Amino acid sequence: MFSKKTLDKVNEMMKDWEKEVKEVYEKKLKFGSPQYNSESGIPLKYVYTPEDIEGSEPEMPGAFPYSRGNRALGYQYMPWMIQQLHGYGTGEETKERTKYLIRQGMKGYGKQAAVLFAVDTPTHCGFDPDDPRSRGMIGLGGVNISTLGDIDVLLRDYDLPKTRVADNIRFTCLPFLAMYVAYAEGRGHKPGELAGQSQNGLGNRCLTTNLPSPVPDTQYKLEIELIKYSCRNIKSWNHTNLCGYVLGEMNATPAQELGIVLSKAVDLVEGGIKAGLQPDEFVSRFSSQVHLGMDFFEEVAKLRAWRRLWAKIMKERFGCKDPKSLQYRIHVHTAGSSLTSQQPLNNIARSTLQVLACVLGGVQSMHTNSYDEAIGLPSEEAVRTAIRINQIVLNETGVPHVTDPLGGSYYLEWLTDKVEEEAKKVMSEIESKGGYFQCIKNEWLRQLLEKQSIKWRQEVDSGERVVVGLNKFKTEEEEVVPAFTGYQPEIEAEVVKKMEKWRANRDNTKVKDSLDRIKEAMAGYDTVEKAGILMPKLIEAAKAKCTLGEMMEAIVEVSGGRIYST
Amino acid sequence: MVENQNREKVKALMARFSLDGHDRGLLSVMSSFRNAGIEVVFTYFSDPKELAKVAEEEDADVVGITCSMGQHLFVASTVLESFNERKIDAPLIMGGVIPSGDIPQLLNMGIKKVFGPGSAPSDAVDYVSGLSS
Repeated sequence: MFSKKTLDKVNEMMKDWEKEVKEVYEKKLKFGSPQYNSESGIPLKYVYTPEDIEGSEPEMPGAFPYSRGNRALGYQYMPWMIQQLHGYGTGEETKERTKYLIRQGMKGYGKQAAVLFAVDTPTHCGFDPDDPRSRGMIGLGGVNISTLGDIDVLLRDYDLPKTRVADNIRFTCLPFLAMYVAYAEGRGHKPGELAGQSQNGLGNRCLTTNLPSPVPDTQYKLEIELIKYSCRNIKSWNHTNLCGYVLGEMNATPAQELGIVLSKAVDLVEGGIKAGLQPDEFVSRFSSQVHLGMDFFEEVAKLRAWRRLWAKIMKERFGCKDPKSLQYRIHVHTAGSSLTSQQPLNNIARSTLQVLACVLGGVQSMHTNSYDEAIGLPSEEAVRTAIRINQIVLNETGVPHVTDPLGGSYYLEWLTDKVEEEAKKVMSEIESKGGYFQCIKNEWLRQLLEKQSIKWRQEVDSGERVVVGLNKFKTEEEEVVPAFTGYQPEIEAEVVKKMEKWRANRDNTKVKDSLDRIKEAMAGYDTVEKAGILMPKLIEAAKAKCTLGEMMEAIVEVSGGRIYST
Repeated sequence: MVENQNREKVKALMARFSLDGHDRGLLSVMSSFRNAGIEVVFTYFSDPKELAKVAEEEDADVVGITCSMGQHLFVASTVLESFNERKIDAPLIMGGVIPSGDIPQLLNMGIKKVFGPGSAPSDAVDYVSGLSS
C-alpha cells in the first residue's frame, strides 16, 4: 500500500518514537506502560503507523468487500433510518406512542411508514392471555398480540402495502407472519404486496432471553420454513434478523458477537439450500440488529469487519453473485446494558457516543436507547431526546458529510483486520463443534455467554472495569427516576376478556380441524428439506381465527415441547 | 431457624418468573453466592403456589426472586400470599430492575430486602450470609 521510501521513513521515525518512550516516559517519568486491550481482548499498541496496514488492499465504498460501506455515497445520499423499538400496554397505547415517535422524526425509507413494535412475553412464547402461565406479564415490555383483532388494532389506520411491519417477536414469528398474511388478505391485499421483517431468531433468543422456547431442532425448522415462505411469496420481506444485540447484552465481545451471528447465518444459508432455495434468492433479505457497546473504535471496526466478512463468506463459500446478497445492511441497537440507573442523565452521553460510532461505521438504521431505560420503559421526554441525539449528529456535526471518514486510519484499518480475524476464530470453533444450532443443543454457546456476563460483573465489582456512576464517580444521593410503567391489572383483565370474546365468536370445529392440520404437518416435518409444508396450514388456521397461542401449542406439542436454555 | 444448626451452609432458593427472560443479574448473584459458600437451588415458576411448594421441599433459608419487567408488585403480593398459606417463614428477597420508588411498598408488603439496579452481588451475599449467624 505504501512505497518502500515511505516505509523506510516511517521505520526511522518509529525508532525515534520508541526511544523517546523508553528514555523519557519509562526511565525519567517512571511511566509503567500499561497494556491496554480492546473489549475483544485484542492487545493494543500506543500508536499505529503505515506499517500496520502495509498488507491491506485499498478499498472504496460501494465495492466488494464493502468494509467502507455498501454504496458509493453514504449519508450524503440517504441519512440513516431512525427506528425506535417500542410497545407497551394495549394496542391503542402502543399506536399512540408510534404516532408520537413519527412526529418526533422516526421514519422508514422513502415514503413508507414503519410500524416497529415490541410484544409482551406471553406473545413471544405463544401463551394466550387467558393461559395461567401468562398471569402478571400481559402488556409488560410490549403489546399483547394473540388474534387477528389485535393486529387490526395496531394496523387498521395504515395502508399495508406502504407500511413496513416489523415485529420484535422471539419464538412465534412464524404463526405471527401467518396471521399478518391472513389479516392482509382479509383487507384485500396479496402477500406479495407486503413489506416488513420478521425476527426469525428463535435459536438466538433461546440462548439469551431465557424463556420457554421450542427445542433447537424445531427452532431450526421454523426458521427455515419462514425463509422459504417469505422468499417465495413476499419478495420484499426481510425474513431473518441476524440479531447480535442480545449476544452483546450478555457481554459477548464484539468479535464473539460477529462470529456467533455469522455462524448462525452459515447454518441458515445451508438450511435454505437444503430446502431447495438458491442462496441469491434469500441471502439479500437477511436483516440485522447489531449491538453497539462502549468500546468506541472497536465497535466502528466491528461494523466495517461485519460487512467485509459477510461479503467474503457469501461470495466465496456460497457463490452468491447478486451484489445485494453481498451487501450487509446494518441496523444497530445501542447497548441497553451500558446504561446505568445511577445518574441516569449520563446515559445521554453514552448513547451519543454510540450513535456517533454507528455513523462512523456506516449503518443503515438504528434504535437509540433512552436515558431512563435502566429504570423502565422510556418516557416520552427520554425517547424524544434519544431521537434528538440522531438529529444533532445528522444536522449539527458535519460527520455525515464524508463517507467512511475513518477509512485509511492506520489504527482503525488495523483494528478492522484484527476484529475480522478474531471473529473468524470464533466461527471455526463453533463449526468444529457442529455448527451454531448444534452449539445451542450442546449448551456450549449458553455456557460461553453465562461466563461472559459473570466476568463482566466480577470486573465491575473489583473495579478493574470502570462504569461511571456505578463503581466510580458516584454521587452521595441517589436520584429517584420515576418508572414509566409497570404491571397494570386492569390491562390484563381487559385483554383476557377480549380473548374470551374472540373464542366465543368463531367456529370452534373449524378451529380444531385447522390445529389438527398444523400438528399433522409438524409431525411429518422430519428435516428442513420438507420446508414449505407448514406455513399454508398456519395461514389457513389464522383465517379460521385460531389464536397465536393455539397455533404455537400445536407446533410444539408434536415437536419436542418447550425448553429453557439452562 | 433451628434447621440451620444442623446444616453447614446457608441454602438459598433462587427463582425467576418463567416469562421474565432477564437473568444476567441472577447469574452473577448465584455465582457470587456459590463462591461465598452459600448453597444455591434455582427454579423457574409461573404459579406462586409452585414456588411455595419448592421452598418448603427444599427447606430454604432464604428465597430470592428476580423481576425486571415491572411485575414485581404483582409477584411479591402473590408469592407472599402463598408463602403465608404454607406458613413458610424463610425471608423473601427481590432483585432486578425495580424502581426505587416501589421499594418502600415492597418492604411494607413483607419483602425483607430489595436489591435493585446498582446493587452489587456482594450486598446480597452479605445479607444472606448474615442469616446463618
